[in-house]
Amino acid sequence: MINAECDHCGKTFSPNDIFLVADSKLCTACAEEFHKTHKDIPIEEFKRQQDRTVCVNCRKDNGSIEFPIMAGQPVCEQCTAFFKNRPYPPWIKLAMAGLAAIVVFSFIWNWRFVQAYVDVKSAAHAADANQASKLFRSAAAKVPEAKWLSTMAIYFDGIQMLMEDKSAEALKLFNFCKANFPPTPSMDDMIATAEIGVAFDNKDYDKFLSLAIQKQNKHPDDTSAVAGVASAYACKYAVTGNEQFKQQSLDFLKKSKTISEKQGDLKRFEEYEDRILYRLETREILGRKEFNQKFPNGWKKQQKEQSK
Amino acid sequence: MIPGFLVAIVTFPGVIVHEATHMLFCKLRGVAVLDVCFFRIGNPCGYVIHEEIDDFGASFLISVGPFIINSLLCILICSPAFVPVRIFGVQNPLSYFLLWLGISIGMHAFPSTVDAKGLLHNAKKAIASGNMLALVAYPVVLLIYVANISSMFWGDYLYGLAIGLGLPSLLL
Repeated sequence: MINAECDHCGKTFSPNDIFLVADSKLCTACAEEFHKTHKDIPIEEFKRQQDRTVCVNCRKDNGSIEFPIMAGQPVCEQCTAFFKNRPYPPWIKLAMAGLAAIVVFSFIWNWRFVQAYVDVKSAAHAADANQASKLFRSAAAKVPEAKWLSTMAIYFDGIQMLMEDKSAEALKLFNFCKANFPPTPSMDDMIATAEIGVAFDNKDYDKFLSLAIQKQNKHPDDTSAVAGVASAYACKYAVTGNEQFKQQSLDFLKKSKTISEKQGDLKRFEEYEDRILYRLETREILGRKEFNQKFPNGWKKQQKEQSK
Repeated sequence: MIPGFLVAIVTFPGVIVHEATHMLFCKLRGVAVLDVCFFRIGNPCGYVIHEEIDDFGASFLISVGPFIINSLLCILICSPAFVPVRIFGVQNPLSYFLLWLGISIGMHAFPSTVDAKGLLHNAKKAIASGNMLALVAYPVVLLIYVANISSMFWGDYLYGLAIGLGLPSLLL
């Protein structure tokens, strides 16, 4: 420790207790007195002196040898090492460990949601409705809290029923979904499609025609919707023999073909065309399943083969 | 307007992580930490006082470190809660706790204007000594100021939401 003398009272102090002001070295008490009588000198002008032989942190006295300066203050080697690698307080370490534990636990705890999400994503790219239904069922088993997952599985079951010409069963499933799901246009369309199928199965061709026209009005650019009207008129022709219905059926079939060509989806159209033309030619009404069983290679193709 | 200290109290984990990250980068770059406060009710609500830095790289890391670490932690903590809450609509206390924790940490990602001033000071010194890489600090400092201004209009909260919930929405 070095000492410094107050220019005013002449007493000896540590430089840390000495202020330099107006070219005078004053101890704390004298500096306070000076400040009272010299209000014009701003407080910033009172510069505290520094004993560079005493560590500012641990107060270690280095005799007459000065410590290195860190951030403007003399700091001993031990304190320098401490500041350079200041440890985190235990509560911070504990908090960070807790944070890491919570994150790891949450990932493990919520892993079933990630698995269910993968199932849902896979369902979007499923090859058919059956597979989509299975994936949604698998997701629903992992996340039973999300009721909509099992509803989606039922929805795809309904689509599968439609594909198998089981319209009445499909309608029941779609109505269940509608009751348990927020209303969506696609659900209404599925219900309409199933109702059309039920009308066809019940041989209620007036209702079939009415519903098919409603659907076509809603989706004028949909091949299936337009072909559905052609199919309904073909049924009416098959039952009544009224040539007007036959012509209307052919008109809608042509319209459906034009739409298919525009959309580059002729394969879908051809499936309808074959069945409807057969109906118009023979006045025999066959459902998709019966038709495919009778003409596994298609009716037109079979006709061509026979004509050879 | 909600007082800043109330926001700091509600989102205190973010303040603690922010200061702990400043300190972490100080330790990594051998910069002496003279004083540290991880959280307090006041302005600033946390601080790290370190020695003056001569190395621009260290200054950059110490200033910008909390932005990187807080943002990463926000994403990491929110992600296990995102799928149950946002995809499946399953509401459980753990998920909401994680979202609060993650967003609190994310919204304290922005470096302060004091950090920006320190970075700018060191960038000027580095450029004067021929380190042209330090020019990168100028747009960063500008962004820090813009971010701090946006915080007056909940920009920090929106940032936390954006990286905690918005980013997974884009990725999934």
